Amino acid sequence: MNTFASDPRVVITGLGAISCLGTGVGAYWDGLLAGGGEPQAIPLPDLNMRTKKMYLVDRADVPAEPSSHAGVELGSSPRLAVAAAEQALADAGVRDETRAAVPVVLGVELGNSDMQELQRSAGRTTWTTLTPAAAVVGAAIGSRAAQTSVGNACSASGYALTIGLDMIRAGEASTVLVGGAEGATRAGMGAFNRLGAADPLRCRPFDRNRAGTMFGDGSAMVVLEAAEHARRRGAEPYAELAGAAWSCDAHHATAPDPSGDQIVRAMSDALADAKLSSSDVGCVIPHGTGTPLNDVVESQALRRVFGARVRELPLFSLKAMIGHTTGAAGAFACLTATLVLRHRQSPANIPIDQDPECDVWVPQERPVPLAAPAVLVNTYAFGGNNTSLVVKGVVREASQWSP
Amino acid sequence: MVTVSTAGIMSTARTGQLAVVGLGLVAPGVSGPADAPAPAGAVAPGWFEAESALPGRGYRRLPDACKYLLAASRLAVGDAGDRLAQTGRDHRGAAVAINNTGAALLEEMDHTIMRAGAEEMSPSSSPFIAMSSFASRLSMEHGITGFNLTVNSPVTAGLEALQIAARAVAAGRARAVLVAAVEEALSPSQTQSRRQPRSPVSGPRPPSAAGAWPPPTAGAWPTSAADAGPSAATGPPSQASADGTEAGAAVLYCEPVVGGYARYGTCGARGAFLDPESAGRDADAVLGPLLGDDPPGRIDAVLDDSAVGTAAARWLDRLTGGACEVVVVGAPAQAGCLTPLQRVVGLFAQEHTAPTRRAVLAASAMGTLAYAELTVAPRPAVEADDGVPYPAAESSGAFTEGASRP
Repeated sequence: MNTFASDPRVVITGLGAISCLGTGVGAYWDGLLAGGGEPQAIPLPDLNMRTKKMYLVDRADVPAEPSSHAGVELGSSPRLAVAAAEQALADAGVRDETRAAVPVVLGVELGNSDMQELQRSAGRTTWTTLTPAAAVVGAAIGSRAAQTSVGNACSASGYALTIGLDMIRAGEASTVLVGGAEGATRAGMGAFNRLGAADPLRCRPFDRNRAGTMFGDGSAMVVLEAAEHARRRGAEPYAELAGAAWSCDAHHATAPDPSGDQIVRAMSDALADAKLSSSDVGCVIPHGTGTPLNDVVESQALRRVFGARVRELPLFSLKAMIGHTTGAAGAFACLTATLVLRHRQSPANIPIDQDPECDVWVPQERPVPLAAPAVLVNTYAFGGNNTSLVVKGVVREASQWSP
Repeated sequence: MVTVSTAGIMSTARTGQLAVVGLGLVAPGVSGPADAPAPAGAVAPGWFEAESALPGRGYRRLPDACKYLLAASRLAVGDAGDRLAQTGRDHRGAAVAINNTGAALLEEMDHTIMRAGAEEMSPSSSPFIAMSSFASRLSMEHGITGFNLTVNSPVTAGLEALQIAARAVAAGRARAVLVAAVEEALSPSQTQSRRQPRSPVSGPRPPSAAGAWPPPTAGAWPTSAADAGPSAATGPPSQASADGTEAGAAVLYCEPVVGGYARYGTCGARGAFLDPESAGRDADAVLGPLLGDDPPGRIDAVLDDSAVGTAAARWLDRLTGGACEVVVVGAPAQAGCLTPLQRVVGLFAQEHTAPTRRAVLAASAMGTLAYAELTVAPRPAVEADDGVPYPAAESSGAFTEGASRP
């Protein structure tokens, strides 16, 4: 039997991460509990701009291999992707001989840009693909299944996760490796500097003095699997990817629609897809970038979805700890949601001077115990490309989650 | 210890199908869908007349790729009658494929940073650091609030966009999707291609770009594998220009098969991966399941001369002598994702008296493969206005083999 009609759920059975907090999921979670990372100088030449920092993977932790694929020299993004992919598959117990059947769906935006920028500074101008990462991962893990690269900017891996979810629900695959990977980028930093969207100090969403975002690099990977498939092979899921929804503002090239109507719809539809209500959500990992209007609009939208309860609903402001990992941000958020469910708490946020226009709860004193069985994840992007995801606990009965 | 079952290569599972209602194409030397298979004209200044293709204000400062995408989308939406207007905004989606679009602009912006500093960058260009920005205007122009997805897998992204759109429609994420591929010329300094196109220019001369549309026979350059001798490495000229650059946009207006209007027919797509390091050895194990054991009457294969393209061409040779005609479309190493979807558009625009199965295979040097299967509906010809009213959205019957046009 190769269908999963008796249990249509899609679960998360493997996790992998490499970020400014270190290599591995353990280091990642410990790093979140310890208050996150610190911005570092970007290791690229010709950085003629005001803000020159990112939340960076320790350069000693960036794998040296694979250094090329099909003749294309690889920068840090595809190498980080391979490292996180291997972690996630090993964590899930997906053995080598079964990996041929595992499709890969990655969110990758500026991908191989650091290699291109190094080459450009050295006078080498021939164009090679920006987005080899999915194929590089496919080769590294021995996949013969489809390798898909999604480029929806800062919501790319939110879209990738939804595609992976839909693939399993449609019966196309029993196991899908989904994630995102980004490296350092001079061009991306330059553009955000020019747009006035690069905070010179740090990434500080919902802070009254926030002045834009600050990028981070790294890779996060999750193994999505049909629940019945996982059960048959004896794998214990971390959590369920219970729902996902997309929407588009169709409003402006870069600015969010101030009405928030479409991000409200994405959140509501994702909850409906998960067959949950807003009261089932115990934590929100917002898109929260530190961009002034984005954080206000998202705060207002959260109030519309959760009502007055938004003041008691903990937000975990992830980007304040690892920066805005753009194409990988959705994957990092999904991974974090999974860890929040596993540890039944959301880490304490980095202290901020909260913007009163962002009327949401960003608990900073201590970790907050999870009081409901689901975590909501939002990812948004230029062009108003929105996704919301619902990650739900799988082990404990719902009755145990009463606040 | 846990294991994953290996009940076949899941990548080859059949995905959902789409009904194709409208076609739109903007490319150098091509006047419409029916001559989509024509070799590309030069990507020279002036090949695209924005003022006539996009009348109205607010387009002047957009990058060329945005204009191509908007122009081709207008054609596809118009070709679909009033179907889009009948579809609620939240049920409209877009899946846009992009590879090299933005490359020249990215280089220009990075050079500005290197030489003058980020503060000298153009503020109107800076958002295009994000690939999905090229599709943003599409949502605004057509009120697409369901989703706007950008895929960027090398070469195969256009066919992947079809697959993702079909899956999203099946999941209820939209009831009408614009599936698009758009590319823009690389800069001269970026086009120092390491490889030449797979096939030398051969076959009949293309019609003049100023020729009548549709031409008497669309797709006039099929070269069957049988005719090609031991290797299928001949065929029509590349659809990218000689410098390895693609430019233009191809758009299909798609709906669910159930409840949609399969005016041009139906299609679906799926993908696989052929590791470049072992392409020759693995080709049969990967391409066999991908193409299945019931090939259509014609496969257009977009291949470069990489290890993957060469392995795929050799594998396709096995179809020589059968009922399947293989048309190998040479792709330069730096080709983007336009040609495969442009092929799909061209095949749908062909005239047939009975339902006809066609396919497009695309392979990238990176190893990604995508395969789109088409069932082209019987139609006398693609005409601008044939006076036949379109069925109402969501109420028309699905195209079935043997059915005549509604």
